[in-house]
Amino acid sequence: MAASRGAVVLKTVKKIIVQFCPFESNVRSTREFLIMVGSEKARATNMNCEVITEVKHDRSQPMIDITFLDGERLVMKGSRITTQEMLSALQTRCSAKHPQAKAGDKK
Amino acid sequence: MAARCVLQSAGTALRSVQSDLSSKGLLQRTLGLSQLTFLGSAPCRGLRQVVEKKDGKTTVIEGVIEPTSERPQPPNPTASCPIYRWNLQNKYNYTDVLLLSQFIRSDGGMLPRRITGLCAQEHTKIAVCVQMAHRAGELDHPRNKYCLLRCYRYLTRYSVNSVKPIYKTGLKWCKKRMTVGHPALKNNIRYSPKPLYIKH
Repeated sequence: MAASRGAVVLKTVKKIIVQFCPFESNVRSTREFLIMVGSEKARATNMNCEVITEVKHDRSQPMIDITFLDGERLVMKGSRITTQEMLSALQTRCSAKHPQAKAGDKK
Repeated sequence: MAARCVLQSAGTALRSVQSDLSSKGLLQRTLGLSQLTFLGSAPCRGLRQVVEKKDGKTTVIEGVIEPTSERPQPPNPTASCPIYRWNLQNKYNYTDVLLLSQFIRSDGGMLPRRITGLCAQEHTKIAVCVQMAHRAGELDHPRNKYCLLRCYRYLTRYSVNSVKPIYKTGLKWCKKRMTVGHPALKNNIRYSPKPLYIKH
């Protein structure tokens, strides 16, 4: 399921750390989230934002750690959440922080 | 007659409640697989809820599976076939729609045996009963368009479009019999000493 509104907008995000073990069975949504966030369009919206991938092999649960520009952190444990839910959570937080900038860009 | 819950039906209905995004957080209940799916014998599915916790500057979002409600224990839990588990072997008929509807798809067809877990004989019996119930007009899924007839019961053996009415049944020595029911159900429990009467 691709994002309904096009690519993710990462204006207010400072850093995204995606950590998962590729051999586990419940990492599909985390991997798809990584694809959506690490795409060229998403990276083009904010060149300063870093997307770091940590590949582990210790059977740990997948986790996504997002740090925003104003110091807030969003931790998502991706074992039982769908990609769509993760993306929408991220989008709501981003748009809540900078609603005027987003509306101005889209118009 | 038999209207008990045979298959595990907890969580089969897909419910998604979309709350306002401006309120507390995302609360969506969707279908989720618990960690017991790879054990094979009894995959129980519970409803999944996305839970959001906020500690100062850090927000943690995770999915939590709700514990399934207690289901009644079948009287014979060691059997492999669900009908034997509930001791319904020879007790159901084509009229027991509540039982038969648990083994059919949404368009009226039967579910495959590897999904329902039925043994071969019971699967054929239930398939036969489902077919009879369709022809008798008891299941809601529209399979045959035919005009309303008064005695549906007598259409259960053959396909509705293939039989013609018997206008002259004949005298007793040369009666044109009409078959009703199916010989697969000949072992059903009967409270009278007479055997199952198929050729009416």
